[in-house]
Amino acid sequence: MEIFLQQVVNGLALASVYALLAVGITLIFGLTGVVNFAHGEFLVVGALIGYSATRLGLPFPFAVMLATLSMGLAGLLIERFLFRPIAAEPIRGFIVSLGLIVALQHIALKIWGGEQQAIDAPLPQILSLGEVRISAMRIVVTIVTGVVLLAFFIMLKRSRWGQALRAIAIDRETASTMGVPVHRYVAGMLAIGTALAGLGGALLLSLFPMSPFSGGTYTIKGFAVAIIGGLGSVSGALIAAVLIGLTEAIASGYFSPAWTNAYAFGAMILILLLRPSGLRGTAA
Amino acid sequence: MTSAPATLACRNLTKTFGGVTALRDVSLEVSTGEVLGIIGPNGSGKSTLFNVLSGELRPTAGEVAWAGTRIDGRAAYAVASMGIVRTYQSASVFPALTVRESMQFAHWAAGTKVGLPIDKVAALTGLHDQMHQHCGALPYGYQKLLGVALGLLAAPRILLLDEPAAGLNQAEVRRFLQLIRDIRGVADIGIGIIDHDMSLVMPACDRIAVLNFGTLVALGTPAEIQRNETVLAIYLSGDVRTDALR
Amino acid sequence: MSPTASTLTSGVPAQGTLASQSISLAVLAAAFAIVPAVVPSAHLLQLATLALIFAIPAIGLSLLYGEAGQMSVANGALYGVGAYVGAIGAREQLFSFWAGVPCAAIAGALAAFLVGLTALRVKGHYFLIVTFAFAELWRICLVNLKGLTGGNQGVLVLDEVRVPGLGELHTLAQFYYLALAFVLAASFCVVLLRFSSFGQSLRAVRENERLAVSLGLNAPMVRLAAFAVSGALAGVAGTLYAYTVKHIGPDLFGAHAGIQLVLILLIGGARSPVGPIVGSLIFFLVPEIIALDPISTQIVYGIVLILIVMLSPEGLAPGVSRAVMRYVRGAQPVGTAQPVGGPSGSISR
Repeated sequence: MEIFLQQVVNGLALASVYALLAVGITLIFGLTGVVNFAHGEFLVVGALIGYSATRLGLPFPFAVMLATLSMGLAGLLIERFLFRPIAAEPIRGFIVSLGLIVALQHIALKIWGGEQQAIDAPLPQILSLGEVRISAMRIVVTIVTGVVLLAFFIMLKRSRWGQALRAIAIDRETASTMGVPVHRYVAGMLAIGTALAGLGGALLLSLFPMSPFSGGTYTIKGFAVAIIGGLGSVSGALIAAVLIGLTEAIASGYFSPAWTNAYAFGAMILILLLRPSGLRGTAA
Repeated sequence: MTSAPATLACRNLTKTFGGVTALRDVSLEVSTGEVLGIIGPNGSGKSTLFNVLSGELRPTAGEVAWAGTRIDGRAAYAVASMGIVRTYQSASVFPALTVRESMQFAHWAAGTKVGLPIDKVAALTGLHDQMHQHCGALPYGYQKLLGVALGLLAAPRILLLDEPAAGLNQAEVRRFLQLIRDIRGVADIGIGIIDHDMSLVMPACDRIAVLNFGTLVALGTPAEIQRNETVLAIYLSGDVRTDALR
Repeated sequence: MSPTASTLTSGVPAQGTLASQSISLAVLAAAFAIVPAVVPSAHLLQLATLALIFAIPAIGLSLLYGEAGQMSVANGALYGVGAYVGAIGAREQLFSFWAGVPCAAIAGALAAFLVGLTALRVKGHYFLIVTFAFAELWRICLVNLKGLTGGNQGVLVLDEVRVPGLGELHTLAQFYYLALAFVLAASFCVVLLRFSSFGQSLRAVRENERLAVSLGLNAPMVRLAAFAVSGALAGVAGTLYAYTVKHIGPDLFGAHAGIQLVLILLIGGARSPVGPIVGSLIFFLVPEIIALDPISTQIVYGIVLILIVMLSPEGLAPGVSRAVMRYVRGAQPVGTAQPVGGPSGSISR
């Protein structure tokens, strides 16, 4: 029982990072139809920037902010110069993202090397609740991402900005003729997506070590969670993130950790076979 | 060779998308040998009806049957193989293939089903001197004719034409009317036509169905429809001129 | 517009005929046959051999992408399926090279078929994601199933290729000609398929899938079949690689290999028999000329991929040859009629 509870707590921290990834992916895809496979690389580069910042003496919270902002900026630049000129043909955007994977990963390799990098836990405390040991850092990660996602979700549902986004997702052309500056929203959305990925990466670094090679796995996890939740549905992404995060944590407590990554993929395949629109997506 | 008529029928067909009900309890049928017209204001569910009949969409409720067998839920290609072939409102062609290559493909896709030969279809549709052209370069009117030609080559028992007259001028519409008459002359096919152009629908069809907001409001001969109070009310309140009904 | 409907290759008439493409292939064969005699170093010959082997999965992908318009990043992993089938078969003494090749083909086709099935019921972009997931999942399996695959150490191939009449192959030149033979066979198969009615249905699916379906074509099955064929070719190449290089490991066969294949097709073009081969050669030989360290080379490749798809999406080589054609034709007076196309399927390359 204690192991189970322990893993549930671990799983929530993991789930929150997956949620950050998946929400970015699902929104970008829902708005623009672009499959951006380089998404995981932004998580990794964000983490490594956070790493360097703490090595240079910056306190952890500032390192996290730096990672978030720098990845957001990168997203803006990439949208403006790479994705926007070819927005009419999403498959070209997809191939561009393939090139980005290769370029970003190897630039990261150049700068940080191939070894896994880790930082000392900024909050090394461990709380004990009975037999269950919870690292304070995991709690902080879960809370921070929870707050960010909640704020985001509320803005999406309640604000005019969110309304405009949803209008664009439903019918881009009509939204455009009604005066919505579609380009700016698309750019903003990609930047937010990459910023969230950077945030997730920097936070994740406080829990696990990372190397430039981790990107692909996180990309696919992010897509798996987004697909399971239903591409285009933020609430779906959140639910699926929790499901997958908990599954991975609990399973790694009982089974070999080497297979941890396989559960998300397996679940994605199951969903595609049984209910392709995902948990909360609209069926065709 | 004319065999006993086979019927494509839908019963109590309902289709909803999210909160929108596009089709509500629609029951219709078209048999081989006859021409059924389907008219109604924009948004009345006509194209959705064709999409469900052709298998591209699954009904939310109700059933579709062909020659007595239920076919709703079957994949679109399977429905087409059974002989239910539809064309598209916007000209739909294979841009990089030539007219001849496209026709050869349609003929090949028909498999063992016996249909009209390519030369006959090319002559019928007036495309016989365009055979070498790349479809992407064809003028719009020819592209629409090609759509019908390809449909014919697929050896259909039922041919569903989705707004074939859209974008055609009066002369082209008259030629299309003649095309439908010619098709009836050479093949034992049932034809369903969705269109707004009454100068095509009224002369061409044996019966006409009228849809409004997804419901079937009238079904009868062209003469009956032209006198039908409900139908006239729809068209009076809408943006279609009543003299278009004559 | 479906995000995977290849606007990069659709709308463009077929390149050549069965005859013209076969002739191109024959010319290429003749040119490549003299390479071992003229190549300045053993190292370059080895690179050329590797380039030829890697061209085979690229040729398979060119059928899927060039004809059917369906992109995939799984073909590097399918290449790996063939490599491990061949290597494990050798290690466990189940079969030798010539029996291993058809086994690898079947394994590759089967893997592709299963992967394709999961994406069959949904739209094209899911297929892309599934191929990427499969490639990564495959790499994870290779690393974790240590008992079978040797994990990160990989598998050593201690068996030899025996050719009747020549005995065991040992020299670099022999392996070069073996690879060349396989490349020509694979390429010719694809040329035959390209101009068959199967190829016609692939193009119909690419040009206008909705229309093809409305005429009775089982489009998902057609795409699946093309994917399976590309898997079979990748599988064959994998076994060839295993027996040539004698050692395989998991890092060669993940999503990155799949991306490299995409790059090769974008460099050389996906619509001609010569394109993937030329693309693969360029991919393998350019680093020799540039002489950067491996990591920087990859950065360059990533950037090159982005540049090509943004500036010349139908491929670097086709784009260049089209620019040359335009320059040459530009010397003619304005108003010269463009050839619309002669007998079916032929347009100047």
